[in-house]
Amino acid sequence: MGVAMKILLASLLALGLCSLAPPPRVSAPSLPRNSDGELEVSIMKLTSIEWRRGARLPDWVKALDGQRVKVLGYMALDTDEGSHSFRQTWDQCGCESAKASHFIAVDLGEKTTGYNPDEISVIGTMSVGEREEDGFITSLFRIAAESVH
Amino acid sequence: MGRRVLRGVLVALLLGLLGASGGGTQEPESEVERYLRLAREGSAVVRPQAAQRLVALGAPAAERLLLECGGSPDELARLGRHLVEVLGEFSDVRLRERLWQALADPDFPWRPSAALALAAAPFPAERAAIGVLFGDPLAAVRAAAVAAAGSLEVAPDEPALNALLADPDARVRRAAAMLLYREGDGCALAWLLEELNRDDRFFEQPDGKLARYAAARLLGEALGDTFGYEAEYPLDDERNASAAEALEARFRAACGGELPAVGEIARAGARIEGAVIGLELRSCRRGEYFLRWSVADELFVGTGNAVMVQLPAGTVAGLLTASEACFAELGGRRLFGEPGCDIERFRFRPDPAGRSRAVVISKGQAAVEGLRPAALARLARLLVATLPTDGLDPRLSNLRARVEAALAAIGG
Repeated sequence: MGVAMKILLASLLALGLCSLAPPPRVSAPSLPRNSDGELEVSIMKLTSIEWRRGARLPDWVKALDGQRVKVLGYMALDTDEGSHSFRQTWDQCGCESAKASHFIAVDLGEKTTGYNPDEISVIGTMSVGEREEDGFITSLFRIAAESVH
Repeated sequence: MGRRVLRGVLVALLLGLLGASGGGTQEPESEVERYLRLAREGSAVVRPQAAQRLVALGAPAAERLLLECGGSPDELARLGRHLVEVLGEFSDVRLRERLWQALADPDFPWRPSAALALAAAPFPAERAAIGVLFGDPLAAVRAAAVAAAGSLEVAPDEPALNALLADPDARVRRAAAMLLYREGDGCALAWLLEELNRDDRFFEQPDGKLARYAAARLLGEALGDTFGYEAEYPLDDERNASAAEALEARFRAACGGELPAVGEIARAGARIEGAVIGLELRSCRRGEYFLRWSVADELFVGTGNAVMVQLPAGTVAGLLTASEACFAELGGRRLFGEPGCDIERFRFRPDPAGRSRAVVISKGQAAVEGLRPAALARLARLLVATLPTDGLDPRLSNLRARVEAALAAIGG
């Protein structure tokens, strides 16, 4: 086997190994983790990122995907009685929360809620990334909630 | 083939023909119609996106919107906030005329949106009219007017912009400071520096933090760097020590040495302790009010460095008793009305160290009779009676009458 062939094979092997290896893990966000192991995420910091459709998200935001988090914020005013989900926003009126990056879509699963005007704490597993429905981006940040207080 | 069978075949054919010419061949909804519908009736997150899709369609969408606008602000209002907000992006003179007409009507519910729409590519001939909006009663309109002035191809009115640095609303002050900086006044950054130091709250709502994030974003645009400033914390927090040093040095250099002292209204005020009752009003027609009553018989008006009014001894004790009775009478119900741009939020926190409870009244653009329950109407009357009718601070000027007007516009 010639040297050139060996180099080619070595390169192909290296490429193959690279493609088999898991993608580089984005470093864990430098956010405080409380005694229950939840990352305490500031909703204002999260929803202040510059975002437009298709844009790459900051690494610290991507690193939240799959993490157990706790987020303090408010329920959007348009939460109907008996809802299985709601938008969590940083302000009491939710007036500026119509952009997909300006709220967290909270999924309550089988549970339901009505509008609560007080500050609420949501604990659950976060997922991050554009969710598209019928051609529109309907959320960027989501929490599968375990509890809402 | 019998006669009966033949008749059946004919009937079937006839029905088929009718079906083909009727509901069965309904025209598919055009893109313009679909986006128009979704911008009005879609979910909260879809409406602004659908409005932007209409803008991307250009002239055909503009013509369709002109038809929908009709000839009066009432008809324009029916488009809803998100469509009104994008009308300026069509650069269509006829749509701009409709927007100006709507802005002249104090009862048009989407005046801030109309002002924002006009801020998109304004014409130089509109400079004077935009300047008039600097004195608008609605802070959101004033802030949008500053944005419009910044988009003009002619220099803005600097004395008028300087006057806005003493505006009671932080959004207006920030917008004015940014525009002045862009026009070459480096000292205007002092007003943004002050915002970075805010740490005030309205009950649990972290207004100071919100101001820090907004100011940091603007400074990032202006300077291209915020030197590691972390808006989660005020500038004087030790975690921001090196950023504070770098930012202050940069600001002083921009101002040729010393930064000017900002006025009382723009200063980062201390956190207010002891607030037990709150009333937050957001009227799309009559403006926003943030009122707090403390156990020390103090009334605080506004957010940020709120202005304090000393009330007669025992005033707040009486209000606390009335609030307790009111919240008890309402039971567990927390929302009256439908989500919309008009909001009354009553807050009650008998233990100043605890968390507040809120009851909300809300509605859309149309008036709703008897929206405010009797218990809250009684409490609102008692709260309003403690407000000053006037004062030296602009936030106190004619305060009682203005709050009464906002309450009337929301809960009736």
